[in-house]
Amino acid sequence: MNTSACRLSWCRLHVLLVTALLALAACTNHVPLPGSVRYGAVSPSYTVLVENATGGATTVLPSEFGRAKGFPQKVLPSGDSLALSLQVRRFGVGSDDHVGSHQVLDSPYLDQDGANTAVARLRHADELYELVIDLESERWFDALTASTAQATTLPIRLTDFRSSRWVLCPPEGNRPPVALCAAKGPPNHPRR
Amino acid sequence: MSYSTVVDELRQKDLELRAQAFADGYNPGWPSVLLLPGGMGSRLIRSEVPYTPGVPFTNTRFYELWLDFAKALQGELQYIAMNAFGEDESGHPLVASGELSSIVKKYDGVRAFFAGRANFAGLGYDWRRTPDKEFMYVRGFLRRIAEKVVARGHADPRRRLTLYAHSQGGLVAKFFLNDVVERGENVTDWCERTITCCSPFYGTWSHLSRYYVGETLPNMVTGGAGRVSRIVASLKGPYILLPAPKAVLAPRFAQLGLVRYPVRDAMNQGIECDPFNADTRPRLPAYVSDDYLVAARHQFTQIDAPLPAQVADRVFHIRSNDVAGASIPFELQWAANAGAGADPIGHNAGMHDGTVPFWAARLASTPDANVFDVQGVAHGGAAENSTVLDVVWKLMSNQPVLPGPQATAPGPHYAKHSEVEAELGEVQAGRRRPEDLLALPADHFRTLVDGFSLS
Repeated sequence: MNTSACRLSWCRLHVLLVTALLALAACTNHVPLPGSVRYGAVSPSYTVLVENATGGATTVLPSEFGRAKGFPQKVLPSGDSLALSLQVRRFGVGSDDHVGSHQVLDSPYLDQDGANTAVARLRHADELYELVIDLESERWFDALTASTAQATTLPIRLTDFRSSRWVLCPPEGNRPPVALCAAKGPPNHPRR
Repeated sequence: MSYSTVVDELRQKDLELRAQAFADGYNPGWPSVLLLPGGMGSRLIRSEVPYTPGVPFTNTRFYELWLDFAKALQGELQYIAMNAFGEDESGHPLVASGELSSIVKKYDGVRAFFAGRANFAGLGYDWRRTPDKEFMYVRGFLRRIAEKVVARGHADPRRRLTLYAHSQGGLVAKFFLNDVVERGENVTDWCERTITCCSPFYGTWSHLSRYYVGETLPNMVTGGAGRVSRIVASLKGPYILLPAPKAVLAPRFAQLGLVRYPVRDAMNQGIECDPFNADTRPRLPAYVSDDYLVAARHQFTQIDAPLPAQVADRVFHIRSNDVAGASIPFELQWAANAGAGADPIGHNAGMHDGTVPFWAARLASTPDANVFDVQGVAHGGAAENSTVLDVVWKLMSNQPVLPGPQATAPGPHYAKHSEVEAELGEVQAGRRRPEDLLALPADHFRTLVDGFSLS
């Protein structure tokens, strides 16, 4: 076995490897994210009417839009309510997107937070909580509410911060055409 | 148009491209696997231009930030930091985009295993954000692949789809299942089963240290331990990697094999150190966010929440003990005054996989028959271990798998941590340049990257 040749070969390989890796270090690993966003229907206007039934004062913090527009924090004494405006917009990405997603339009106290999710941030007893509203349902765009000139009110009675999400209630019985329901949670879901 | 709305649009674009690729290669004769990577095993790409409020965001040019080694060496890991509103501190949107692929191709062993057997997709998520929001991208992606595959004339792929979640991916999967139940939906409409591997349902033992001493490699290239610790503290999502609160764990001691709360004072074992307890708070650095601690505490309750039997029966856990001869429950030991710059976290000789305590890698409410144990498999490569994948495949094929310890095949042969740590030590001591790390052999890279990127 020609060991010197092996060593030489290994040296060359090593040099090549180091050179290649240094070259790699100098370049940027570009990742294109092509496609444009197509905006679709905008829902009718909603007013999420949050009633503070927690027994203590709760402060509602402005969203990114609200901060930019100078909206202040709102202190909500126990028993008081605050109206949060909400409109939902449908959007798709790319020409073959038949599923799409929904986003919250500029609102002083509601922010987008992930897919099909709007949140209001609340401070209560020195702790920060989120009121999470699910935007996935197509019923946000129901023609029933679209024909209403005034904003549809969606009342939320906030007794604690245990619910993970507020979703549009399934239509049943004599409920208003659209209402928000607290997610039920799995059976035996321990509540804080 | 807000920052978070822009980021959501970008992430939907990424999902759409992945769903398209999945549908294009779909084989209707195979089952499907959706991989949810470990916490820091998801790639983050960064926009080359910043977001400007009020201006439509049309940029399509991104580059890999997490975890491109060259970018790390240039100090760009600082850009993963977030502000108190959940926005990227630097103003350039970061988007989760699949599993890590630079230098080290994460989960290539999983892809190789399923090649020719199953339709496969990897779904990256933004591990800097909380899993109680991130799961909505799993839901959205499953809807996208279903629509595209059905449009090609095939049956809904979700009926034969396995969610395979490594490490923190298991927490995202649990929130996804919670949500399906909360909506009153049928879980079989979304997936056939969920299999988690080394998932820290009740916390890790390694993350707490990061708030004090950062991480070795990022420290070297991102301004030192103090800077990295603060960056870690700015990320809301990883707070869920702290040990679970006593209020959650105590009712579960028996199911998890614990006899007492497993975080103790290093000097006085009689003192419990619940990181979510006000009495313990002074031990944490001031820059740790109280708001994020509250959010994590709330999420632990949701992670622990039992699933209905018909859902829990479709959930399986694989956990590993990588400590030879260990048989006692793992416990953390937390020093009250370790001194500035020192890591106050130690541990006993209990069972763990290098990152996750053995007892933490299962949900207490999952049937014991659905929990499988492996020996000698390190956390980072566990999802790719052949014994682990054999268990996964048997479950997918409805073949019997015996519960309890499995004889474990050797895992991928990576360099020992001690060897890589010695090389890092050379750099830390100034005897080698950080750039020299680029010349490390591939298996050293793997150990290096797995060591801090797969919580």
